[in-house]
Amino acid sequence: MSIAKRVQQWATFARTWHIYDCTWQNPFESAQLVKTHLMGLHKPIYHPMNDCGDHVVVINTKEIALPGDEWVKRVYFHHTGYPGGASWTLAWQLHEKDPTMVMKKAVYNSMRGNLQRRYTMQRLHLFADDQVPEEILTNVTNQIRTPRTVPQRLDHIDKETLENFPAIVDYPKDYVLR
Amino acid sequence: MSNSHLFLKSGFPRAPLQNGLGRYVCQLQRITLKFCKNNGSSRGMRDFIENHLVDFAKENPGIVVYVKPRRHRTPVLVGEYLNGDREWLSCRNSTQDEISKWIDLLKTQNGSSSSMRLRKMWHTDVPSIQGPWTPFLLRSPDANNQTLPNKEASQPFDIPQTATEKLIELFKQQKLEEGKAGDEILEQKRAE
Amino acid sequence: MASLLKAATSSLRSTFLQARSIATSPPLLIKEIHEKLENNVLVYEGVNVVSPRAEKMLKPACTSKFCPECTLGLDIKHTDVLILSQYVRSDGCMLPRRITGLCHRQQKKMGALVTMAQKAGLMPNLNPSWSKNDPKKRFGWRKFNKYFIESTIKY
Repeated sequence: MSIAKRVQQWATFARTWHIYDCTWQNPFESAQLVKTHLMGLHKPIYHPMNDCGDHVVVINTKEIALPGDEWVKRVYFHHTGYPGGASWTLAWQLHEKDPTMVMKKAVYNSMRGNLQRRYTMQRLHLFADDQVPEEILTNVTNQIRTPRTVPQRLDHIDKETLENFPAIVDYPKDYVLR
Repeated sequence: MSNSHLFLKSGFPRAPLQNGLGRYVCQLQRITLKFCKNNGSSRGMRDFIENHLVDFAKENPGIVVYVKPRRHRTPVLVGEYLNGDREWLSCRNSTQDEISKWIDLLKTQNGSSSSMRLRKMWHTDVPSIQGPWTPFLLRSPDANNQTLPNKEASQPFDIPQTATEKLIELFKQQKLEEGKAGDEILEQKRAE
Repeated sequence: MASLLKAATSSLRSTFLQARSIATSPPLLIKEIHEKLENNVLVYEGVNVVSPRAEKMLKPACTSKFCPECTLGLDIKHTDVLILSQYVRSDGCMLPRRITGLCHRQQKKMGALVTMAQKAGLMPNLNPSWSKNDPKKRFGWRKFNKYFIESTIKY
């Protein structure tokens, strides 16, 4: 292979690093996105037999959001293998124990159970908050766009917007302000 | 599920020795037409031999044609190729038109088509001038000097207008209209 | 101008509330109740104020029979806290229908949206005084982020 061809090969199969911010995102919607990038499904050169997956750094997994009361409805099952060894853990209890676990399991379960899955998972880097080691952060060249916008808290909105925001309800004349 | 494909030859579609560039060598070398002289299932084959076979042989001097009558058996076409492939084709109850079409197919292909499993459904002999795709292709130049992670790059591309934004817009419009109305009143007063 | 209602201690607050019906001040003005401690005497004062929203009112909202969904075509989500906070008292209580002026269905819907926003911890500063105000300090599963889907509101 000539030198130019070899460089071409490196460029085409280069592993890129993506970063994904989990703040206020549903882990199961995000898992589809993360999985696409982990397996390289977003590339035109994708083929199940060529190894073209990327690395994904997932940050702020502590801040994931579940719809409604899913924190208490979603249950993770584990069996030790011994009689009576079954255990059921609610999603919020698991999240309290390990804030990266819900996201990790969501990504793991979104992929098909084949021999490749464990190796694909090795390319996923999960962080509970936004403290990412510098050597990982230097590799990152792309940020994956999230499916949901982050809602803004009323006490975090700046004063100017608050004061200039139009009112649509006025108090009646005999109202006692509270 | 059948496993018949396991022992099948596999590869990519390929023209042998750049056939067709500059010169063309017909890959079909021999063709054998087997038929019965009096059975009805060979009727079309007999018609073909009677009407078109001599013309076919004259048009294609590179192809050796064998005709083999045999009693009470199905009519069959067998083609033998330059790469050693042999393709067998039953022509039971076919008309002479169908048979001439089948022969045309045997003549134009470069080996038995059904004897190879294609490794990939896409293939290119002549890659594009721009070169193959790379992950750095068509990336925005802005991506070079932004620090990741940041909030802008994380937001979804098309956010529908929220009720809050719409309300602010309506209020701005109202203020503008009020401003216009105020100006009109002023102008009227000046005119008086 | 403003009526001075002096009450000796907090036990007299009930008498003050009863006395409101015979207030000598002009009745049609918005009031704010101020609480002052002067020489061991707790003073409650009803001060007339101009409505803080009078300047910022949207014109179509000034008419009766206003409804943000039907009149303006607003699709309010539980994340639109700036809108939802107008339907709420300072302690996070929903305003009654005679004040909001909404129809029955819209009032119920707005109430549900306010509840959603509060459960999601998006309006932590509009809470009762005993509230911890920080959604991260809630008990058990409630301390984790959650969002709601508006199509689950039944009315």
